[in-house]
Order: sequence, then structure tokens, then C-alpha cells
Amino acid sequence: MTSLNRALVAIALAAVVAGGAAAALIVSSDHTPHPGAGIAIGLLIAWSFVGTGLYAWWRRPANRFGALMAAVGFTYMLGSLTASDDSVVFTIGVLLASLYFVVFAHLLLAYPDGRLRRRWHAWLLAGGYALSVVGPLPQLLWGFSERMLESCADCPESALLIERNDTLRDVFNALMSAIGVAIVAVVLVILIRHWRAATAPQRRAMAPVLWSGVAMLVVLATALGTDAAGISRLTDLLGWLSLLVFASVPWVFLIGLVRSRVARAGAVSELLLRLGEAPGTGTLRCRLADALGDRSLQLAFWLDDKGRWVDSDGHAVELPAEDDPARGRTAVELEGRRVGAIVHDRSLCEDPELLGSVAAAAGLAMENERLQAQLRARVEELRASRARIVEAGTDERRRLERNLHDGAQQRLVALSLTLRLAQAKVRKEPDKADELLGAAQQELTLALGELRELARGIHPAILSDRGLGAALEALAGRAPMRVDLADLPSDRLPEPIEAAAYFVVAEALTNVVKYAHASQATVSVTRLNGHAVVEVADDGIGGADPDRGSGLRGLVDRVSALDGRMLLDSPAGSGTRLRAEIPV
Amino acid sequence: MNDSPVRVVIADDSVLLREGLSRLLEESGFEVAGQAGDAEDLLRKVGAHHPDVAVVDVRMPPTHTDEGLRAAHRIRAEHPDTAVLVLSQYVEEAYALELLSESTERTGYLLKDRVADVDTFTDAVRRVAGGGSALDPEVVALLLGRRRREDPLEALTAREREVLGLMAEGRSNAAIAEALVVTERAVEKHVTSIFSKLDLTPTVEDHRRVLAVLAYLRAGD
Repeated sequence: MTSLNRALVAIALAAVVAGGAAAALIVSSDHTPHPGAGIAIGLLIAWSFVGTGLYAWWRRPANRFGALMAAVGFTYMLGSLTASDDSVVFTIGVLLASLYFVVFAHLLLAYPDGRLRRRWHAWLLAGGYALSVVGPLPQLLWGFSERMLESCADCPESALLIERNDTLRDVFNALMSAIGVAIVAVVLVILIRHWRAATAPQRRAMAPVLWSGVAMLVVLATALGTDAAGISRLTDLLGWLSLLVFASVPWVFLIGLVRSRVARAGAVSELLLRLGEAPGTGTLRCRLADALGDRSLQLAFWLDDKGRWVDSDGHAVELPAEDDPARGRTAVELEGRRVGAIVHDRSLCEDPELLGSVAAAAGLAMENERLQAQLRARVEELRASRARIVEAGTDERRRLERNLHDGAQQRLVALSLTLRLAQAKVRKEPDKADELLGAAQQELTLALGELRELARGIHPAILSDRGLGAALEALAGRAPMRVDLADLPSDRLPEPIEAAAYFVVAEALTNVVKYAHASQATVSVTRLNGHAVVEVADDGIGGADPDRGSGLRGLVDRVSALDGRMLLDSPAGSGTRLRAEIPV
Repeated sequence: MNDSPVRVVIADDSVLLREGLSRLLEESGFEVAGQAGDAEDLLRKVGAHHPDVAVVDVRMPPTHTDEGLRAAHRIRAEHPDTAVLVLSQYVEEAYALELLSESTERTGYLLKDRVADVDTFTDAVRRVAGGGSALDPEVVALLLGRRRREDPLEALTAREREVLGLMAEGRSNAAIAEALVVTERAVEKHVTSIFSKLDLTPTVEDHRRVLAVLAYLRAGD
């Protein structure tokens, strides 16, 4: 037996003992008109509150609602003190007789999670608790009213009686009733606001208790009002009516609880059946939304390789935080592996068993949808990467055009002019012509050099002729810092892989020169588990930003176009390591 | 060399360049024995004419990759008396070193642009025809410029580096002396100093010397 269960049993026993004591008081009373009926109705109400309260407490130990419910039952029993023939006990009973009612209002305000939502609600309730005790004082200090004396002629004297003063009593009585009505009205407004702010599943859970509570409050407010106005017959009728409504609250709550368990079992088994029917995209969400009765329900799928959550279209999504007040999330696992999450209304967190069974039932279907989402995410990525590749191609052409135009083309134009000048001078000033031809020769050498570099940048001939190893050796030889070639493949790799690997190294070395402040870089290309693994490491300052420049982005696209992936490890202060893994 | 003109076969897939080279060489006193448009044609012409030198473009049909280079290797293997001067569009030290790795005798590698510098070009053709070697200055610069772990080249003086570069290009002491406008005696002193600083065995023969220098530069990384 857990400590919680022990405590609950102790409370139940206390309720039985208290009930027995109350019954004894009523039986021995000389001023209670129908002791049998009084005991029966009183104990029925008190014990049903305590009983359902303890049940709710046991089911949801974290929720204080059950405790409040039990408290209503206990405070309700305090009213039986008025049956005492002893003046002091009777007086205390009168003072505490309406306490249960404020506890009940407290219960309603704290429904359904057992917590008050605003600080001022607590102040309001404090006022209510105070009023419930102060309220009977006018009657106790200045003598009972006519009506009171009529219904309880044999009641003991108030222990607090100063002197009979009908005027003072009536004035203060009216004041207390007015404050009471005002507090009840504010509580009603708060409850209606709660209702309006609630989502559909929350409303479904709230409805029974909230509406019976509201009915009870309305009846009581009217009773207080008419009491102040002195319409006694109506007050009697309303008193009975409120008793009836009040007595029904725990039963309504209990029925709601049981019905939700039955409905849940039905919903889960129906869900299982429907999941077994026809697989289809998009409908899983609807089916789970039906089963949980939450139309705002969303599904998120876990992409293991990307380490992020996506929706069924493959777009990245954020899950609500653990303590998000509006949304909750429930993980869905399949064979111990995370496949997704159900993002739902927070109120469903009140019913962890239901969420658990739905999540368990949805596992396989979620896995299927996850695979589809993964595919869509991949297609999405490919689309984006393809667009970038096309754009990069266009950019590259533009760059080439500009280089050709600004470089070799200008030089050739200049050369053409120089030759034309030389031609004009060749007869009259042969020396000058000779000089011009020399200049032309120089210009031409420069133009050729530029063209050569440009062509090498586009695609080094040695890469196709001799393969990656030789091309990387050539690249290393041209680097302005020491580049060690640790491992190079001895045999040729497929051409697109060699090209991608070459440009990865070329771009990486360019970045090392530009940003890393490195004295040395190491390049290696190895074959590992069916992959060509290209690694460029330097001893520079690290802290490289993976989003820096279009060069790296272009490389990522180039590598992922071959189903490979790029990893950048660049802790500040300890060098940069760029790694590309391309399946061979 | 005796007085009879150096006989050359030219292989290049561009007719324009072939004709230009041919005219340039003939004007400089060479005899162009034949022209070829691809490697197969080249091998046939070399076999038929037994030229002193074959001037070969690296890229030729049908694959436009390195068939010129492969043809050059075959010529060196099958016709030891025919020197080979490979012309390349690009500075690829790997090709040059590959070509010169077995033997630097009668072998040369020049950037194609060099043909415009008539003196340098004809000098290189004559040098390989005479049994020597020719390596493009840009390739040499690249080899000298490589960053090394503990670079002994840093111990060389600027003048010694110049001399080392010219040696790597395949020049004789006399040619180096002429290029640097110093006496041959001074060049010899530099060479001795370089060899001792780089811990190389001194050697007199030019082509052996080139081989040693190139092997050293290549092994440096």
C-alpha cells in the first residue's frame, strides 16, 4: 500500500467517524424536527462528496481537485453542530454552517485542474471564507429573526447574544447578504469566462460540474436576495432546490468520470479498428482527433537523420514546450524507438491513460506516416537544393562572363589596338613598331595566363586525366600554406564523386586561406563503409560559420546531390575540420 | 651538334598552331620532317622519319586528355634517339615530373605559351635534341614555391635559388652563367654550395644533375 493510499483510507475513516458523530449530535438534539431525514440527507451529501473526492484524488494524485471535493464533504458536516443543545457548540455550528459553500465555490473556480488561475481569485475566496463566518454574526449578536425563531423555536440561545436589537440585526443582515450576492455574482462571471475561454475538449470535461455548480450558485444568490427582501416562502422552496442541485454535484462528476473511461475505451478500440482499415495520408490526424475529441490535434514526426520534427508535409515544426499552458505533447514510440508526437490540447493531459492508449495504438500508423513525411521532407530539400544548384550555375556563368570580359577579352582588345599601331609604324618608325610588338607580346602572355587560370578553375584537366589524387597534389602544391596529403585513394572513383571531392577540398582550402589564419592544413580522402570520406583539417582559429558565404552552401548542395552529407566541426580556438561523406 | 639542321616532327590537333610552329621552326633553321594531328599519326611519322625531336601537344584526339603524353612515353621507349618536347596548355607539374622521372635525357616539358617566345622555345628544342632537358620555368617556380615541413630551400640564398631554378629547367652551367651575367666559375661555386646545403651528391653531367634536383624537389613534400 502506498503512502497515498494509506492517507486516503485514513481520510475515508475520518469521514465515517465524523459522519457518526454528526448523526449522534442530530439524534440527541432536542430542536431538530426530522432527525432521520436530516441524518440521511446530510450524510448522503457529505459522504458522496468525500467519496468522489477521494476517488478523484486517487486517480489523479497531482490534481488538487479531489482534495477540494473531499473538503466540501467535511465542511458540510460542520453544519450538524447546530443540532447541539449546548449553546456554545450551537453558536460555533451557526458560524461554520456556510463554510462548505465557499469551499464549493473554491472547487468551482479551481476546476478542472485544482489550481486557481489568478491571484485575485484567491483574494475573492478569502473574502468569501471570511464572510461565511462573519455572515451569521448579526443574528448571533442581536437575536434571531422572526422567521428563524419560527422554524427553530427550541434552538439554544446564542452564546454571543448582546441584546435583542431587530434594527441593527436587519441592517447588518441585509449588508451581509448584499456582499454575499456580490461575491457569488463575481464567481459566476469568472466561471462563465472560464467556459468561454475553454476549448472543445476542455468544455466537454468541464460541463457537468460547472453547470450544476452555476445552478447552485444562482439558486443561492436568489435565496440570499429573497432572504434580504423577506420573501420567506420562496426562500424555503429555493433552499430545498439548492440542496437537490448540490447533492447531485458529486454524482454528476462521478458519472462524467466513468463515462469518459467508457468513452475512452470505446474511442481507443474504434481507433484500433479504423487504423486497421485503409491506410491513407492525412486521415491519421483526423482519426486521432476523433478518438481524443480534440479537433486542434496535430501530428509531428521525428526525422532521426536530420534530428528534427516535421509535419506530414515534411516541413519543420516546433513542439510546444514542456510547460506550455495551452498545448501538450505526447510521444509516440514504436518498439522503443521515437517515431513522432501527438500535439494536443493541454486539458487532455488530465487523462494520461487515454493519451497513453491512443499513442500506443497509433505507433505503427505513425511510423508509416513518418516515412512518408521523411520522403516529403527529402523531396522538399531536393527541390530547394536543385533550385540553388541552378542558381549557383547561373551565378557561375555570370562570374565567368565577367572574368572573361574584364580579363582576357580586354587584353585582346588592347592587343588588337597595339598591333594596329605597330602596323602603322612598321615602315616609318621600325624601332617604335618593334617596341609596340614587344608590348603586344607581353599583353598576350598575360591574357593566356588568365585564360589558363580560368579554365583550371572551371575544371582542372588533371582531374579527368589522372584522377583525384594527382589533382589534389596539384592543388596542394599551389596552396600558399603547407598542405599535407594524409591519405589519397589509390584507384579512381566515379567522375562526379571525384569532381565533388576535388571542389570540396578546393573550397575548403580557399576558406582556410581566407579565414582560418592557419599555418598548415591536412587533406585526406579515404573509403569507409561504401563512402568516400573527404576531410580537410587546419590548425587555425576555428569558429567557422557553416552559413558563411555561398561557397560552402554550394558545396553542401553538390555533395547532397550525390546523396552525401557535409559536417563542419569548428570549435573556436582549435582549428576547423570539414568532412564530406559521399556514397560510392 | 653538326651543321645539318635539327629535324622535327610536330603533333598538334590544331592545324593553325601546327602551321605556325612549323613556320617558326623553319625560319629558325630547323627542318620540319612531318606534321601529325593525333597520337597515332605522330607515332607513325616518328617511325617513318626518325626525327631528332618530336614536339607534342598533351591534348589530342580522340579523348582530348593526355594522349600526347602517352605518345611521348612510347617515343622515348621505342625511339631512344628521338627527343621529345611536350607542350601543355596547363602548368601540370605532375605531367612534367612523370615525363622526366625516368630520365631527363632528350626530354622536355614546356607551357604552350612559350612558343611565342621564339628564342626560349628554339633553345629548348635544341637542348633536348642535343640530349639535354627542358622544364618550363613556371613548373620550376611551382616546385620551388611548395611549402615544406622543414624547408632546406630556405637555407639557400636568393642567388642560389635562381641557380637551382635554372638547373631544374635543364640549363647547363654556361647557359646559367650567361642568363645571370656571371662567370661559369661563379656558377660552379653556387652549384657546389646548393648541393651541400641540400645534402645531394654532386654530379657533373647536366641531365643527371637535373634528375637529382627534380627528385629532390618532388620528394620535398
